[in-house]
Amino acid sequence: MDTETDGFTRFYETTRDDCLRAVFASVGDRQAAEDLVAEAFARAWARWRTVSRHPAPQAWVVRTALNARVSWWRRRRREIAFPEPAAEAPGDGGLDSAVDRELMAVLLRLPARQRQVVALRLFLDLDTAATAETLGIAPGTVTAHLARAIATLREEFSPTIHEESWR
Amino acid sequence: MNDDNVLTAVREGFAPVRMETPAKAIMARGAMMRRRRNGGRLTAGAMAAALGAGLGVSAFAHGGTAQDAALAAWTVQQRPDGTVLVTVRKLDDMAALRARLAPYGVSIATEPNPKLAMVCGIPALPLPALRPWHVHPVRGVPIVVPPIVVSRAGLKEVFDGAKTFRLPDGHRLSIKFVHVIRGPGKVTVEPLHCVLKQFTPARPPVKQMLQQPPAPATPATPAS
Repeated sequence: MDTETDGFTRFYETTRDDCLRAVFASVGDRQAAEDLVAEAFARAWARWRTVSRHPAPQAWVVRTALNARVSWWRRRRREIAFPEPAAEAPGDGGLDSAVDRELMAVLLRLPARQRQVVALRLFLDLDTAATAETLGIAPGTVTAHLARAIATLREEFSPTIHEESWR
Repeated sequence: MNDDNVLTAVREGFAPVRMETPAKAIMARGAMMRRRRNGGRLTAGAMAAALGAGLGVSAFAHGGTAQDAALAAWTVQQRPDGTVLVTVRKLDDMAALRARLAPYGVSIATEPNPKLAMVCGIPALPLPALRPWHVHPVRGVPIVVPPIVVSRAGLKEVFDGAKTFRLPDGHRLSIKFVHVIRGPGKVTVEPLHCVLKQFTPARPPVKQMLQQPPAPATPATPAS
């Protein structure tokens, strides 16, 4: 195995789960997320010399996966009106049985941008600047999205915790 | 419940999610992409060589020779099949481009056209520094532009709409509006403005001609 192959394989093995979690949390569809992440990793391998020099290659992968979804959406929007995908329909077969349905439903109630910010901060451990760079938004916007998302999640989770404490 | 607890709950909720695609499958797909890309480069190189050899294709590039035509602000190429390839990468010296396209019955407006923008459902925007556009024929082949152009600046264009016009010779001309996606890590969705072309049809459409009453005969001038 040459150095390039070895480097990519290590990168894939160490980051693939977190990338999948980040994309899954963003799009809400387990199978679509795996397809998108696989496609993004394949693109990363196709231009590995460039991607490997990226300050956060895993952020590149997630961003590419999310972009691929945007492109997919655009094509789909132009071609034919299908029923809404699982990302917009929480509770159907697009969700992963391994993830608590209530947790996923709560996440999917967040605006898409807030979900993306949470996903990048949480699963890729990106700081505010890197998250902003990856999403192409201002650092202040990242901070605001994160604060709003956490506030919403706290509100959603708190009753559950409270109920459990009384059992 | 503090912020850390919230985030920990979400993180732990996703812990069972694991990527199942094997690395070999990923690398095989990536290798195929790489081959395809390199193949495309070779094809483009072969085409450039053909252009250089003058195989019936003439190129007119503003601000550069045929060799660096791809980097010029705009190019107009007459192709062997009779089509004309127009690629605008930068709104520079549009008067020359306007003159260049006039024989094809196309004129270019360099100012944003609010009417067209309204048709497209996009707001009127100031002219960006770099605004490639495409013209694509629906019927006939007066002007053709490749569907995707990646400029030296690394912009990738994606079609997102079209507007069709009628050319003086009866052909229809469709202008594609695109979004510009900047390189990896940064995405800027930017509606391409409908900057292009106004023209006066040489003759009215057939339907209109049929609906118009015949012009009254000009009375003969009495001989004096």
